[in-house]
Amino acid sequence: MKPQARADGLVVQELEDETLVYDLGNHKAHCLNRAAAAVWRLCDGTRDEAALARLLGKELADAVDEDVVRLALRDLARARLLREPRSARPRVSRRRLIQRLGQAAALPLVISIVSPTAAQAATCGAPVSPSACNAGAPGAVGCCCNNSKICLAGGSGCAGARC
Amino acid sequence: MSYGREIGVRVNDPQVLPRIESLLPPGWKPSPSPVVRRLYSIFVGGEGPRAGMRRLHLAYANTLRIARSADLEAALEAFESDLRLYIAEHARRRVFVHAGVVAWHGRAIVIPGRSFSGKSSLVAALVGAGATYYSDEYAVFDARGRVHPFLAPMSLRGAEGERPTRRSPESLGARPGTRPLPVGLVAVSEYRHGARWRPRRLTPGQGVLALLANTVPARERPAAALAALQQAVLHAPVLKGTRGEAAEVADLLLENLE
Repeated sequence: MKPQARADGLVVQELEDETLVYDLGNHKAHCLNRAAAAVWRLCDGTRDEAALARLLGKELADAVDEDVVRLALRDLARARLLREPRSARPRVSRRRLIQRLGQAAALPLVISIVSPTAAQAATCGAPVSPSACNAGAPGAVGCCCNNSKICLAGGSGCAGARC
Repeated sequence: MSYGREIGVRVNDPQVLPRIESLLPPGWKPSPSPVVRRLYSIFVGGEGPRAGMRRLHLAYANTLRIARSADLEAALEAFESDLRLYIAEHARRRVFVHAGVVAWHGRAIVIPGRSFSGKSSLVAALVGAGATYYSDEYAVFDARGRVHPFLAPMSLRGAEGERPTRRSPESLGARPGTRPLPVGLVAVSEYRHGARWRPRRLTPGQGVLALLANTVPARERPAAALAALQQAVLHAPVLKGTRGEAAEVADLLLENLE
């Protein structure tokens, strides 16, 4: 298996030790730590896991277990940052790897969020009416309804937590 | 004109104009252009043509009806809410993040959070402790990551289901901010009764994600948003945790910028 990183439909922003990736297709934003970002950059479709582990070790100036690469590939695939969905799984879990390698710093980590719509990120003013909530009126989602419950997305009505 | 966007408002009753003017975004100014991007139409209802019949108050944004209510105030609030959302999403050269902002010793403390996360009460506590008021609704970032004041009245919630009360920063003894500032601290907090503020520090990348989760134009302009937010957290710690009463946390946050 020679994974290849996705390049289309992404906005990439490099930080000092991290890489931020925004997926324009599903509006998810990902934060890749140094190890995950390095694996992602190295995935050019010509390298297998052993080669990736060797090159990652050079980049991190430390020997890297192939399971670390598999963990990165699994996380990157879950975040849909690879061209093909990956079926191979790491032989050990992240927890086992931390126990085995003794430090979490070199382990890859991908943190993801779903980017909010404008209305989700907006401020709520006065309580919205249940009818406005059910109709999906602009700015109603996430606001307090007359019945003192949060207006849920997708026409689910005033049925969220108390507000 | 507000943040580079032309807005039009028309009404069927000129008596409501002063009230509408009070609901326009901070810093708005009249525009000579007859062409607007968004046209609001406010129809004030009242007595109908027959006895016992009342016309409802209506508000439209372009052709979309945003309010239909027997309560004029509810229709006007829908207008204000939609207008602010439109400006926040489409402002030129600015990135609006749903957050409270105060300034302390020349740097901004940014408190991102959704509605009901308690950020307005934390802003009020910080202002009460002597911080300069910048906003309790939006952190307005420029491309260099500096925060600009968004000086709308402070919105304080009362009992469940009640309308928030609005108070000018000056009435709370606050000094309003005037100039853009670099960010000194980002505090991602959520109120929980009895909780103690023991935050963990996020990495810069995680900090950008925390801000992006509250960014109005995140989907509309992700590249600009990421670039501005990256600049914002370049030299500012991002702390995340649950907190108890606002007054207790306010002092701890200000100590971070001493």
